[in-house]
Amino acid sequence: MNVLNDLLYGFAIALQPWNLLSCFFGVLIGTLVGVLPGIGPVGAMSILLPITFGISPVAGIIMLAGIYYGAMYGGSTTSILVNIPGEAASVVTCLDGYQMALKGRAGPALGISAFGSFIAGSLGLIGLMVMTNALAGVALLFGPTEYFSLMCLGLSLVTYLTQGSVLKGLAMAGLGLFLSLIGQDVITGQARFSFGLMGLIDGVGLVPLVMGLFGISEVLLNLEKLGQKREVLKTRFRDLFPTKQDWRKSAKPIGRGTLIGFFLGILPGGGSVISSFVSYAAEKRFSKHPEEFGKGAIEGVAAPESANNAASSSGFIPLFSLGIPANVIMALLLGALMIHGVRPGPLLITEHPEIFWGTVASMYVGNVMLLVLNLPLISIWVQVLRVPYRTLFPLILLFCFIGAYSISANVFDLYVMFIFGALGYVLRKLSYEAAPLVLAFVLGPLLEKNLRQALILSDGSLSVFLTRPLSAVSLLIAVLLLLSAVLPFVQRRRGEVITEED
Amino acid sequence: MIEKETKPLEGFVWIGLGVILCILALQFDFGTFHAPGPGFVPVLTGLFISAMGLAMITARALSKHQSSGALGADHPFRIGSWRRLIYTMGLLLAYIILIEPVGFLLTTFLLMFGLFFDPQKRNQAWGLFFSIATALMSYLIFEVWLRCQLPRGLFPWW
Repeated sequence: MNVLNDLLYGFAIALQPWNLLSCFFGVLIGTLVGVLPGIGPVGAMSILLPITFGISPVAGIIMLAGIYYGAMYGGSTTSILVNIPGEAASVVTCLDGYQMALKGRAGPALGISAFGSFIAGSLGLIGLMVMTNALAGVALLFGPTEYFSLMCLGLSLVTYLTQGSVLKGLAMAGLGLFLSLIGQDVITGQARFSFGLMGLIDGVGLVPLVMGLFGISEVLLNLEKLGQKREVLKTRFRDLFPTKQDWRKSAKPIGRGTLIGFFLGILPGGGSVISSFVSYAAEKRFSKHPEEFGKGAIEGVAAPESANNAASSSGFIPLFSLGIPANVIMALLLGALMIHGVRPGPLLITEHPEIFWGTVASMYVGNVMLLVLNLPLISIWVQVLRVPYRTLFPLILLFCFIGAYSISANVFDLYVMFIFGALGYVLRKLSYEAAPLVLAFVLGPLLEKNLRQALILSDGSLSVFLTRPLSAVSLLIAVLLLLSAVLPFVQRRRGEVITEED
Repeated sequence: MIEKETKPLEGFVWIGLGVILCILALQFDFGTFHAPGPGFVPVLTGLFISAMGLAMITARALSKHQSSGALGADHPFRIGSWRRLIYTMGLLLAYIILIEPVGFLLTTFLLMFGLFFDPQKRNQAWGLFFSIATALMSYLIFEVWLRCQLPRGLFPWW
């Protein structure tokens, strides 16, 4: 009953006009970036991060969350109609979605993708409500020692955030950790590594850093493919509804995709990309006609699209209950909450119920909005797909500049963004991923503060990290995660996944 | 295997970076384990980065040994179009330098025109129109509606 009351309270928050508008804006932008290849939810969230400073934390988080799950919906459109995934989680949808479109069945493919996403997203939210409450109860027992170990566990997730070399991911995490230490020391207030620059006394800003690493570098990379043209297959709204037979074939894949997506979404670095691949592989194995997969099987669209939406709901569980971001998008949300003075973790639900329940309720509302946006308005999204990148990229760059400048009206932030844009471009060319750097950058100050507090409290004894059970368990999991990344079997599995994605 | 992606010099670059960061960090009080100072975590971070560099060199050497030197990483660092990259980066840098002295509106128009400029087209009217429209629209949305403090530069009355 309590959960129901809390949920009703959440709806009262989510349905306030300003929050409703934020939700609509978020899912609209999310669908847009999902549809448009060349900019993903991370880029869009980093560009729009400064806008959230002018609104309440609830409205800001509702909007950013909307961009995330909205992109999961929108990503399938390009996969099905153009054979180009709008974002990484829709890669696998190309396999059968585009084949269906070539056979004149683009409508049912888009329809089942939207309905499956809606069902999975809504079911995933029930799990999010139940599991976050349970985990937050355990996390209330945490002190600086446990928090430090938890941050180490969070950092060890980079091994699963990186798709290529684990060592490169860890090196990037080290760099991110160091960048987070620039500015005033958390305990003594002494300025560190500011080199006499006023702009660095408060540290490197999250927004210019993220905008540079994801926004600017993404544009610079995409400029190399500027001349490419996209052929968009035609579809009509009245063709969008799947037939009874389509529903019969898709019901179980949607259910299984939801379960797989939900549980993989909680796991570190699992997220929507891996869950969509796993659910596709599972459906192929369960199917009586596996030979139809890759040739336009509707199950091959229903399962991964359901999985990536369920994963986008469950990805919030570690963030809201433990304060650990399971992926880079959650790291951005963590950063946004911290900028607003809200610390995600076990006390979030009790100290800021409006943020937790408001966001959860807004996701139900957002899922309904997405269904409306993605089905009747499909023809508009198809038109958007025809906008050439040459027209789009100047606008993306301009939004990055305005976003970075408007935070503190300081040109220094623009230089920071420019430098990280150039650095991000070079690093990505060398197969370094920005996600571990951002994760470590966000967790860095918390890690340092808790480590130093834990050492002061324990009188310099390092054994405290191993004698306290919760801390020991967190460290053990962290070590296992790191070890698993170098074991030959896991390396081989990761290699296979990467090859499949390529 | 995964570590084949590492290029020969990368490990050394990370070791060097870690050492530099350690030297910088040692300018601050390291403290003790009883009372860690502001240099404590930065020094450990520098050491961690160097360790990663060392691990990259070792992993590459082992990988090379196992696969007789057939390293997949030897695809060179290639940039699609140097001209386009330098042109775009130059425009962005010029925008940052000029935005405060010249002002948002004019600098944004110049940046947009530079970015929309298509050397393959004779008629640049479309780019000119979009540049003016984008500069004006962004000014109206961010300065007038959202009240962002954008630089006014040469036009303090705007």
